[in-house]
Amino acid sequence: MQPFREVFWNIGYHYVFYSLAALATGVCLYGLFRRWLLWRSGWREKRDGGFDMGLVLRRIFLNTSIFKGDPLGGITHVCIMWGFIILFFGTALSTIDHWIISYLRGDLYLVYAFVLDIAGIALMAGVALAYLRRYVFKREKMVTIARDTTVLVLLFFIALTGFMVEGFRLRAQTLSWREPSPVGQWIAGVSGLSVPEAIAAHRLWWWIHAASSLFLIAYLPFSKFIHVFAASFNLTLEGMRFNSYLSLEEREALKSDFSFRHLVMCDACTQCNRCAVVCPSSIAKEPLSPRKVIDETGRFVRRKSGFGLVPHPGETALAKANAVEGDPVWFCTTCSHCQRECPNAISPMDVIREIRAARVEGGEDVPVNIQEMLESVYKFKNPWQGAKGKRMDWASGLDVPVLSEGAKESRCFYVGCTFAYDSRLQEVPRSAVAVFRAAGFGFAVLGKDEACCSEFIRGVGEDGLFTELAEGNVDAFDRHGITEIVTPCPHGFHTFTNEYARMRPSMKERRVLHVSQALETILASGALALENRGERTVTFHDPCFLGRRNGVYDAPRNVLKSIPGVRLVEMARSREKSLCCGGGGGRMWVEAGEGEKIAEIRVREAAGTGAGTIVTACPFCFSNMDDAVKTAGFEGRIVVKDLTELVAESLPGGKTG
Amino acid sequence: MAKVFVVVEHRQGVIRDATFELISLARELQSASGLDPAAVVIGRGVKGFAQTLSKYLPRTIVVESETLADFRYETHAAVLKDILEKETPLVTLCPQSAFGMELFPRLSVESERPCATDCIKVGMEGAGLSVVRSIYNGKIHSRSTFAPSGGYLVTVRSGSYAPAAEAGSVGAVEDHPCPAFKAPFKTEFLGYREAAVGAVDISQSPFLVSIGRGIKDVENIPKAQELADRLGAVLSCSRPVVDKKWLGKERQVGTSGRTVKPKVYLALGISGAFQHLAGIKGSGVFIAVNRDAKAPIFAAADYGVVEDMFKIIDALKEQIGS
Amino acid sequence: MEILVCVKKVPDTADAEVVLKPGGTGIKEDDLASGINEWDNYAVEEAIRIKETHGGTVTVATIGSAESEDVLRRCLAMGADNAIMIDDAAFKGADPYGIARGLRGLAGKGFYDLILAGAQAGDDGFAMVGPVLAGYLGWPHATLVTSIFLEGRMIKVTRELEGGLEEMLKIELPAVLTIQTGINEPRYVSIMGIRKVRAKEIPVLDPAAIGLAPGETGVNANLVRRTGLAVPPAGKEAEMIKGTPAEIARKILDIVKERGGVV
Repeated sequence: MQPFREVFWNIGYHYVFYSLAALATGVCLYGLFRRWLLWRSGWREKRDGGFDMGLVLRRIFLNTSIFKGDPLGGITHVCIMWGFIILFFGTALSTIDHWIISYLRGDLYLVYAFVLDIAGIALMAGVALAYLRRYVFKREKMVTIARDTTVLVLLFFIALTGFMVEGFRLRAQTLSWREPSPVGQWIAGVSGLSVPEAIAAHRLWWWIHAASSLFLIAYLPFSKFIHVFAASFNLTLEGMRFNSYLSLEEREALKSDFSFRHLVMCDACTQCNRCAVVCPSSIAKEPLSPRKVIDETGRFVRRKSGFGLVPHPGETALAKANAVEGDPVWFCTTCSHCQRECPNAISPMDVIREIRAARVEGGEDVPVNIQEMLESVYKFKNPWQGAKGKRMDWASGLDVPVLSEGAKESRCFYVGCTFAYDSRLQEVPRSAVAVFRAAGFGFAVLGKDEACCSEFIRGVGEDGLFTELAEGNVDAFDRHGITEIVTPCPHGFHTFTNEYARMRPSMKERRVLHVSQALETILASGALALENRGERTVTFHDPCFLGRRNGVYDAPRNVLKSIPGVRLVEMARSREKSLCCGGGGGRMWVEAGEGEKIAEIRVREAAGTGAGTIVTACPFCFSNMDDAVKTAGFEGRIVVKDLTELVAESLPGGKTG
Repeated sequence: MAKVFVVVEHRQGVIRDATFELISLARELQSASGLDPAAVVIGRGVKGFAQTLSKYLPRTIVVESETLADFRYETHAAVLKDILEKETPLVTLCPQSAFGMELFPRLSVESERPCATDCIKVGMEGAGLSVVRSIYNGKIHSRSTFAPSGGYLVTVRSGSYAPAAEAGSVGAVEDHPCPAFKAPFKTEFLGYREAAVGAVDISQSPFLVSIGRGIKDVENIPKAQELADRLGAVLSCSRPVVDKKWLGKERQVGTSGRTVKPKVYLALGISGAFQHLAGIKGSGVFIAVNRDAKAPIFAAADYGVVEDMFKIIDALKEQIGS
Repeated sequence: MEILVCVKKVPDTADAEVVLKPGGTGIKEDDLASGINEWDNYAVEEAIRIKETHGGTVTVATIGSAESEDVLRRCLAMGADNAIMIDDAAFKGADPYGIARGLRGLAGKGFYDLILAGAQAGDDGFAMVGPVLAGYLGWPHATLVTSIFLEGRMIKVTRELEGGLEEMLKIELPAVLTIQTGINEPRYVSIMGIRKVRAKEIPVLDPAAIGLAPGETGVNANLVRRTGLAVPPAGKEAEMIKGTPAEIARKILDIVKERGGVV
């Protein structure tokens, strides 16, 4: 006789099993359908175009995003995921073999049996590892809730009972071949049961195994297992480059709380806590935990959708203001580290922004300082309550060409509000002008008409104000025939490249550069011969909006390497791992928590490299780090300098112009 | 002879200082334009005030009555209207205070005399009265005159004139009967109360002594607090002080703190970071003390002192003490 | 409770450089941002809070032109029910009395229980329109109000005095109250919120519509007549005080006293 598996061997009442299976499947499908309806109730996002299918498939099937930075985690999940999938398909294949076409015979069957056992071992090993990581080692300081425990227990139990069933079967069956199922054989050997006892045990545990497996199927959409679908789906959506930018008219017409993708995100979370480990706010022990935001939002959304088949439609968009209680949402710096770390492509930052937008629109629960900042931007077109007439004060004596006064240039040097109004920082645009002039790099400024880029206006949720000012800026760029924008502020750089480009097609035609990129080009061309102003060891602090959010890491480093006498050392958390200075997302106007400030933590890290200078390329980074140097007691040990200033100081003959 | 009347402001048994500034102005109008000055004091139990005022002015008019025990514009405007009709002073002065702001504009309508408020200079120009007012956050001075009238009402911004000293001779005090009040009153005085104590509200304080990192150590905070107390000021600070938990958040001046509009802002050891300066508004006088001659605060301040702030604190305490 | 709130759009001169127009008839406003007078904003918020608690409607009115419409829309977005614009052509150069006459005419067209205004305007700072309007209407008034508590046809208010002291008054309705800053925390109005009310009609009334005769509101009707503007003599850089610490301290105290700080 050929080796094969006798399905339902020793088991009667098949109809009971099939009824239960139908019931379980029905419940599962119902649950999935409800979940789908909930997701569908979110508003449609648009795509930026392009789809890296390879990346998506690798992340879903090879779990590459879990392996990143955590090989053991990757192995754990691969074991669980593939162990389960193989076992599940094993059952499916067996069903097909039983009902449709007999093909699992002979050697194929032996391979099948062996592979399934290994899969079972992998599953149990993976679950055991997962248990150790979550409960014993408390990796990533994971916060564990009931949802997390039940799935581990259930999986383990199913795998265990599966092996037990196999073991008892092998003990009880008399087969003319040796089943290559190592665990089954081992259990059969140590069971100490007689054949009649094994038969009884097999029957009992078969039903227990069946019931628990069917329970898992039914329970799936209501449990953490939903992440299987949600995470795969979310990774695909992210790969398809969906984004939550909407025009103002589209915003006004919204009927639902969150976008489709946000709702999928809430179900994709597996509580791995990687986001919180890298969140600057969590690191500084502030009340914000991105994981918690996703958890609370998910609960909120599920609560609202109730048990009906269709989630309650018609709730106003403002309801989502209460998705997360209290102030944690205002602590987010929009550094996007959470989004980057999440293996399932969840963006707590995005969800936080939506909640902020609801609060701002409703006018309630908005911190007073943020309100005042928004009112300042509304009135003065900048957040510093700076009078329009003073916007060009930074340039006094420089005779800078101004577009509104007739300068004919197609390259606009967009200064930015903070560089323009903060007297500590005005040296930076002055330095830029000096370098540009020395290199014959033509440029002109918008002058007093320059309005806030409004990146963080959108970041705090004031989409209306963002749109107003952004449209004004683009109109100005259009009006003056600008083809290239160079800005020293990464926030402007980010929003011109991303949101402005989505808002107005004319922006897509423009080159947008951060000043570090312009400097890199200038220095690479050899137009400038910089002089050595002394041997210095410096470390570069990657601004979130230049680096992590836009992938510009090398330009500023190349610039630093071109300055004679400057030696660059890197912090451990550099490039995409850079620790936010705590200035984005409106945080310049929101007070920190009780403990060490984010910027102080960063300064400490910088000082630890032995560098005497922290080089920044963003006005908020400079401001925060400069303050932190003083408050953390590093004055005299380390200084903060802007990248452009360093270059200008090294110009032949010092800074002129 | 034309007259100039000073309406005396008093509260809780004390004549308020602004009254003495008005007496200086009245004397100025007397010497420059020959107006006869007199004080008008209205209330209950105000005879003692009259005695005091008689040492400053040649004439004090007292209106004493039980119904005038508490200040209400209803009663006081009626009394003044009666006096204005009988005495026809050319100019009637009052401080631009909570008292003056409540009383004079209404009195202007009731007595059909034009009023100009918050004036920093008052003088005769020919036969007419001319005033100067500080507008647009103190950045522009506006000169105004009036439509011709038998009398003019003017409220004066405190600090515009120096308080007067005693005249050296004693003037006359005369009683003026309280007129009968016609209609039933529509307002009723219920009492005074201290504004809610608890967290300090620096944005409401007219005088701030503000400290920055120059304070160097938490042990020095009491020195600054003592100075503020002695100066009758409220202690505020810049962000680094709050960051170090040396003072509460409610005392922070700046973009992520409070916005203040004091009459006097004395900044000690503050460098003048933009975020701090952005929290200081209004046209008050800004005095900065800092060891660093290049501190950006000196570009924003009205007066600057390049000196160790502790030396200045000590010197100030000595001066006040004496 | 029918509430009328009188608001004014003023240029923001707190941090800006203020420059006189050639001829000195006014200031250059091109580089200045402008918005609702800060005191009026508190008044609008207070009116809306009263309405939210006690019911009724809030009407905001201003004397202005098309440029002032955004201020009215913002008030509508905050929660006001109606907005009225009184065309300012006839009010150019009007003094507080002229403004008050205009508002009296407007008040006469409605049945208001309460009129609120900011205690003063951030540009010329007269602090007169409120009490003068009350005088014209024959209504009781209170200025510098820091809290309002309704009790039937009476209201209890607190007024801000000097030195942290407040006085409490009971006033019969209808009344005019002028509002001091800090009475509440005005809500934030988002651009989206303003967009939501962009379709709301704002009637524009001319003087005849509110019962004013020509000549009742212009410069010629002024009781207080502006004769000229000037830039006060001032220095830009800080005036450095030199000397020994004792001398410096003396000078500082002098300055403090001069500016009204009582020592």
